Amino acid sequence: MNRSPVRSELDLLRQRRLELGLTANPPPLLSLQRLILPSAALGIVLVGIVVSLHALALKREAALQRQLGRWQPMELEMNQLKARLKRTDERAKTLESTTAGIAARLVSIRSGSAFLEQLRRSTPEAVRLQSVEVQPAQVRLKGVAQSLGSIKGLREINALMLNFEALPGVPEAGASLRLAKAEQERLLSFNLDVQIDPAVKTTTDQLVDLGAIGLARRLLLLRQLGFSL
Amino acid sequence: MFDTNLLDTLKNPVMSLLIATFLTANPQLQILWFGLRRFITVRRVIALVSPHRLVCCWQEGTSWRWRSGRWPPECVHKGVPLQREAIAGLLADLLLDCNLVGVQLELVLPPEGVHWCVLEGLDPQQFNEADLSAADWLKLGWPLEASNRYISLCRCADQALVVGLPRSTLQAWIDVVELADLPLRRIDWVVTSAFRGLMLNPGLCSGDLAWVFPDETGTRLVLFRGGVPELDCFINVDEMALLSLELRRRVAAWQTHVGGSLPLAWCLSLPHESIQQLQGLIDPDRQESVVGTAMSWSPISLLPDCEEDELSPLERLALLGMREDIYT
Repeated sequence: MNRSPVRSELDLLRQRRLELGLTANPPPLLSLQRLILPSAALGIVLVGIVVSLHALALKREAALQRQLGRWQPMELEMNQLKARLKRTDERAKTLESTTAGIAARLVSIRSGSAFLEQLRRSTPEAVRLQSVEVQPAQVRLKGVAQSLGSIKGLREINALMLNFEALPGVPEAGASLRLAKAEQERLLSFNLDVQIDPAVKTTTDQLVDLGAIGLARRLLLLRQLGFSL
Repeated sequence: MFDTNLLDTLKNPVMSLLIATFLTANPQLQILWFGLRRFITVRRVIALVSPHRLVCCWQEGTSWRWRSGRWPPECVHKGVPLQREAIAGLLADLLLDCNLVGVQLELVLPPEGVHWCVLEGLDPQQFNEADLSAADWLKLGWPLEASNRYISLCRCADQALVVGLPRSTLQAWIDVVELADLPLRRIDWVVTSAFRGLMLNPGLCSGDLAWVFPDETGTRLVLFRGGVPELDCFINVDEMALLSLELRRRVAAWQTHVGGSLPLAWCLSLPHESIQQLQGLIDPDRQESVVGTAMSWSPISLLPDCEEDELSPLERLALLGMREDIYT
């Protein structure tokens, strides 16, 4: 039995409760108020917090709405400006691409004098060209090669092909002999196709070297103006 | 601290009437309603057992109310419940009639069947039941065997008061309350609770007091000195004149035995007619007085028009002593 000071009040159940392993005294009665009030107070505080937060959110929303109302004309103006800027950008890009195309075409046109000079340099003395057909990616040559024998004529044609293939604008094995036929004694006619790589641009130094001074100046001027050629 | 009825908490009587009408019209909801009230409401109810009836008393707001129910004959004999189911049924019906739910019952046993004694020379602040050996109990002449008793100690002035009863009696009352499907919170004894109510009169703690109250088959006389009971005797005399003589004789013998000449106060917790017949007992020449006849506090009857429903002085004193909740 637990030791406890004698109380002034009597409870004949106290010993029985101790026998059953319970506390000597029953728990105090909690009134409705004591049961509910703490929870109610907590609930009211929570509701108050939620209501306050809601009020703050409403106030903030109203402020943002006012701010939005002030900014709406600016937004319209900004959208209009964006649209105009976009149109201007597109137009500028179109102009740039057009200009670039024009500039590219300006410098892409092969100089006739430079071509002829290059052709002259590449052609051996024993070879005489009869016709030259220039296409965007190909040059077709017809000519005759003087030869003391058929072998000598073929050597000259081969030298011509090697000279062409040594040029920077002609890819490797870009020269192909289509026809070689003995015409007369000591003459061997031939048809030759030379492939041209359009991606390979002629440098200003090469142009100057080939005597195309005007085209070289034009290329320099366009590069100084900012065109990437 | 007490809770008021949930219906009473609805201060609007119209609302209460509407709820009552609604529940009457929808009996299937009554169980839910009572369950809810039982869950929310917690209420102390004092059930005072006497040989002939049961008195239930509870607090409503600031006032106390009571109602009684009469036992079938021979239901309680010498403090023992003989017809447990009948008593439990009466208890449950009485509480239901009073519309009491969430009841925490505090039972007050009748005078018969419970024993008490004062332990002198023991510090009531440091003493408890385990400090008494079997020899001490034998010296006290305690009629209950150690293995077959429940006892409880309480402070009485500067002495320790021991109250005990047979295990079977306490178990019988516990069974009664269990049969009524009620939670039992405390068991007190009508004599000690009435004694506490009596001692609320501050003047009684210093002098001699002769307390007379009815027993199941006779009259009990308890004599106090300095607020400590010194003699408890049973007088089985029917005639009032003889009772008066016997009371005087025993008081005189006690006063001779204890010595001293403190003024004696009589507390006659008897029916009004008996008090009238015992008026000659009080001797003003010996500075004797009567106390406890005019009590300022009394609970309100739930059936005020019923003439039979009147609290006896002993019941009123006991309820006064039980008003305070000792387990707050």
